[in-house]
Amino acid sequence: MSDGDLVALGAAALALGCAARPSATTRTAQSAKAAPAVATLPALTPDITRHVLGRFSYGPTLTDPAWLASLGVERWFEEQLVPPPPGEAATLAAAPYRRALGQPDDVVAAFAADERSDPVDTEHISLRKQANRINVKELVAAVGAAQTARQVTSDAQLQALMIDFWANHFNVYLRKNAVKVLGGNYVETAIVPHALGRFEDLLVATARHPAMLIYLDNDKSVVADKERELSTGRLRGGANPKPRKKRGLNENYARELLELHTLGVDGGYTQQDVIEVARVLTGFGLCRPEDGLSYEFRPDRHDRGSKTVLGVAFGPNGGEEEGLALLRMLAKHPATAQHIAGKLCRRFVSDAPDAPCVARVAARFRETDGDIAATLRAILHDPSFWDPTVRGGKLKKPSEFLASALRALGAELDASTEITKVSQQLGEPPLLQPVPTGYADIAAAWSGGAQLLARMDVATRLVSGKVPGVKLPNLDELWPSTLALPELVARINRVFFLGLGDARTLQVVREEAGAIEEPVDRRNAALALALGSPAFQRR
Amino acid sequence: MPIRFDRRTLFRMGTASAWSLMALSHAAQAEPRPADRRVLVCVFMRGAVDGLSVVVPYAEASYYRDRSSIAIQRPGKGDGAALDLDGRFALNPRLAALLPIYRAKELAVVHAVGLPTGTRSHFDAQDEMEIAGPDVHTAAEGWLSRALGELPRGGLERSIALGDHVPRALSGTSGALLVRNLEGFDLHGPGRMRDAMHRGFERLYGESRDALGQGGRDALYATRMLQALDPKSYQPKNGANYPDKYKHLRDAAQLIKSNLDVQVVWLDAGGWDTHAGQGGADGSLGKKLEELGRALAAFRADLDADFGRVTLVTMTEFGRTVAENGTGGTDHGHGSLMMVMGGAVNGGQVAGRWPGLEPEQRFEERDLAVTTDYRDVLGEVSTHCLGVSNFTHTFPGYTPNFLGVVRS
Repeated sequence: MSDGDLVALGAAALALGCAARPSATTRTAQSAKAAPAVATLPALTPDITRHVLGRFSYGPTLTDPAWLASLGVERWFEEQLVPPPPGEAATLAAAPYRRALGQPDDVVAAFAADERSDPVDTEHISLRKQANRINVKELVAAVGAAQTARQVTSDAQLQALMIDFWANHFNVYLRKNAVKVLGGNYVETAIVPHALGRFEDLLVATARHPAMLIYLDNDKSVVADKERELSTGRLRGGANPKPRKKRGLNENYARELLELHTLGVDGGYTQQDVIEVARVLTGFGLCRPEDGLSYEFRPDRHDRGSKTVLGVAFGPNGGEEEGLALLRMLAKHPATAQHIAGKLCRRFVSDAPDAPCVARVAARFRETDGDIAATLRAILHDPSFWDPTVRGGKLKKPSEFLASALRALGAELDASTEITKVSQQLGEPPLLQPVPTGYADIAAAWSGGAQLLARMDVATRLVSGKVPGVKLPNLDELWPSTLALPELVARINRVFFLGLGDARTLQVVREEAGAIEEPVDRRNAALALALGSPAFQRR
Repeated sequence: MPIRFDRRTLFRMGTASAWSLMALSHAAQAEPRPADRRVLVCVFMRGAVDGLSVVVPYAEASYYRDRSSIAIQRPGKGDGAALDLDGRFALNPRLAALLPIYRAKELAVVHAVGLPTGTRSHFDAQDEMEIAGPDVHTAAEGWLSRALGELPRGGLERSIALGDHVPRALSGTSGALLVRNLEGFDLHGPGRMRDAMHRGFERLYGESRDALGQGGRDALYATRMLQALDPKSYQPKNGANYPDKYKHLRDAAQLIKSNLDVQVVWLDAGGWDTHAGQGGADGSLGKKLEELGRALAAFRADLDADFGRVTLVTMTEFGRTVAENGTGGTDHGHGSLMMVMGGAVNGGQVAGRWPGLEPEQRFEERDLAVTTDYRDVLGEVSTHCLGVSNFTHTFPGYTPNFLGVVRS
C-alpha cells in the first residue's frame, strides 16, 4: 500500500465522523498575540512533525500529521492555545465524563451529613454511602475515565495535556475524605477553565476549591486563639463527653503552597513564612456542613492579627482579601516564575532542561504576568526545544503511553469506566497520587521493571481486544490481517513512528511476528510488539 | 550471598536458543537455595483494626460496660466466649486457629501499640506508619525501603509487594517488585502469541542500553523467574487451605519456599473500618477475623520447615474507640495491636505495658492509650530479619526500645 492510500484511509476515517475538527480559525484570529520572534521555526519534516506532536499532543492519530501539515506548526499551535468553548469538552466523551463532572447533590449531602455527625471522624462514609445508594467507587473511577477520555479524544490536545500538568501541579488525592466526590468538579471548575489562561487565576481557583481545602487540611486551620477557646470548653461535658478534634493552625496547605504550588523548595522562604502564610489563610474553609460542601470564607476562624510574609505585611483585619492579596503576590514572585518554568521545560523540553532555557521561559512568564499560553509559546520558540539532541528524549508517563497507543490504534472508549483499571495497572491513575507532589514527570520514575511489564502487557491485551472498555472499530480496516508482513511493518512504521522507526525495532517486529502462522495473531503480535517497544515509550 | 542467575546470561540464552522454561527450573534446582536467609513478611491491616476485639482485655470492667452489644464474652462463658491466653487477655474465638500457634510460642501479641502522634485520619496515620520519618506528606521513601537500602544491592526479587500498588513503606530507591498475583505475572495475550511476544520484547529491551532497557529486561526476567515457579500447579503443604481473601499469603508462601532470594514480602488486608454493625463474636468483624486466623494458620502450616526463618508482623494505622457508637460499631481511636508470628518469635505472650481501660487511663479519655511505639516492633523484627542497625536512617528521630518479641 502506498503513502497515498494511507492518507486516503485517514481521510476516510475522518469522513466517517471519527474526528470532526474544531473550526478554531475564527477563535484563533480573535485571541492571537504576536509570537515572540526568538526563532524561525524549522520546516515540517517527519522528524519535526514527530517532535511537535510528541511534545504538544498525546501522540499522533492517523490523521494528525496531515492536519499539522495543512496548518503549519505556528497556526496549529495557535489553534491549540485556544481552549474550546466551555461545555464543548463535556460533550467529548460519554457517560463517565458527565458523571465525573458532578458534585452530585445527593453525594455531597451525604458527606456533609457525615461531617456534621462526628467532627472527629469524617471518614466513616461507608454507612452513608449505602444508605444513599451512592457508588463512590464508581464515581472515583469515572473521574479517572474522564481524564483518559479527554486525552484520547479531545482535539484540544495541548489543553488536555496542560490540564494533566496542572492537576499534578495542584495535586489532590481522590481517596481522601470528601475529595472522592469533589475531585471531578475540582478538575472541571478549578483547572480546566484556566489551564491555558493565567497562573494567578489557577492559583486562586485551587486555593478556594473544597477539594484542595480538604486535601491539604486548610478547612481545619483555625486561628490559634480559637484553639484555646475551644479546648477550655471541651470535655468533662457530663457522663458521655463528646470528644472534639484538637483545633488550631494547620500549616499543611501553607507549606505546599510555597514549596510546590508557587515559590519552589528553594524559593527563599522560611518556616516562619510558612506559619505566617497559614495565619493569613485561616478562614479559607468550607461552608457549614448543613449547607453542603462549598468554599466559604469563615471570618470566625480567621486570624485577625498582623502577619509578615517574605517581608511584606498583611493584615490586621484583612479578611479574605488578605489571602487573595497573598496569592497574587506569590503568583507574581520571580521564584514562582522560575519554578513553573522549570517544570514546564521538564514537561516539554527534557528531564534536565538547561538553565538558560528555563530562564528565558521564566522571563516570559514574568513579563506576561503568568500568561500560560504566552509561556508555552515561548517554549515552542526556544532554541532548546529545537535542539536535535532533546528529540525522543522524554519517556512517556503511563497516561501518555496509554493515550498515545489508543490514538495510534484509532481506539474508542465505551461508556464504562473500565479504562481506569488500565490506568491503575500502568501506575498513574488520575488524581490518585497521595503525595502533594503529583506524579513525577521524569524517566527515572517510570522505568521500573513492573511498570514496563505493565506497558507490554497492556499493549498485548489492547490489540487482542482484551481490554474491557476499549473498542477497536476500525482495526481490520486500518490493519487488514491480509496485509503482507513487510507492508504491515511499513505501515506500523508510518503510523506509530511517522516513518522514523529504527531499523532494529522494525526488524525484531518483523521477525518475531513473522514466526506466527495465523494471520490475525501475526498482525496483533506485530502491533503489540511495536506499541510495547522501547521506541514507542519515548516521545 | 547465595548465587543467583546472571541476567545477561539469561538473556543471551533467551535470544539465542528459543529459551525454555524447563531450562530455568532445572538450573534453579541445581542452585543452592538461600536456606538460611531470613524473611520479613509485613501485613498491613488497612482501615484500623479494633484490637480490643482481637485480643480481649477481659479483666477490664469498662470493656464490658462500654460495649454492651459488641463485647466478646469472658473465657468460659459458653459459646462465643473468648479463648484465654494468660489470665488477663483472651483471643477472639473466631481466631481459634491461632491458639495452637500461640501455645507453641510461635505467635506473640503486642497490645496498646501504635503511633506516638494522635491522628485519627486513615490517610495520615497510614502514611505516618509507612514513612516513619519527617515530612510524612512529601517523603518519597518509606521505612522499609530505607532499611533495605542499608543492605548490599539485591536482585529484583528481594522485596516483593503483593497487591495493586507498591506501599509507601517500600516506595523509594530500593525498589520492590509489584506482583498482583503470582499466576498472573506475565503478558496476557492469547497463548498462541505468548512465545513470540516474550522473545520479541526480550530482544527489543535486551538491546536498549538505557534505564528503559534495564527496566524491561528486569521485568521480562521476573516473568520467566516467577512463571518458572509454575504457580498454577502450586500445592500448599500440610493441606493448608487459604481463604480467598488471602491468596496473597499463599503467593508469599510459594515465593518464600522457592529458591528465589526473597527477603521482604508485603501485603495488605483491608476491610477493618467497622463503624457500624461490627457485632460480637458472631458479627461481621468476627467473620473477617476468622478469615485472618485461617489464613495465618494456613501460612504457618504451608511454610513447614521454612517457617523457622520467617517473621510475619501485622500492623494497623490505629485502633478504635473503647466505647461502641450509636450504630453498633466503633469509631477511629488510638492504640491497637500488632501480631508477630514466626520461628524465632518469643511467642506465647501478650507483650507491651497495658495502660488500663478506665476513662482516665485512656487517650483523650476515649481510646486505648499507646504505650508501645509501633517502631519498637518494626525495629526489632527488621533488625532480626534484615540486620537493620542504622536507626537514625531507617527510623529518624526514634530511639530503639525493643520488647524482645524475637529471639536474637
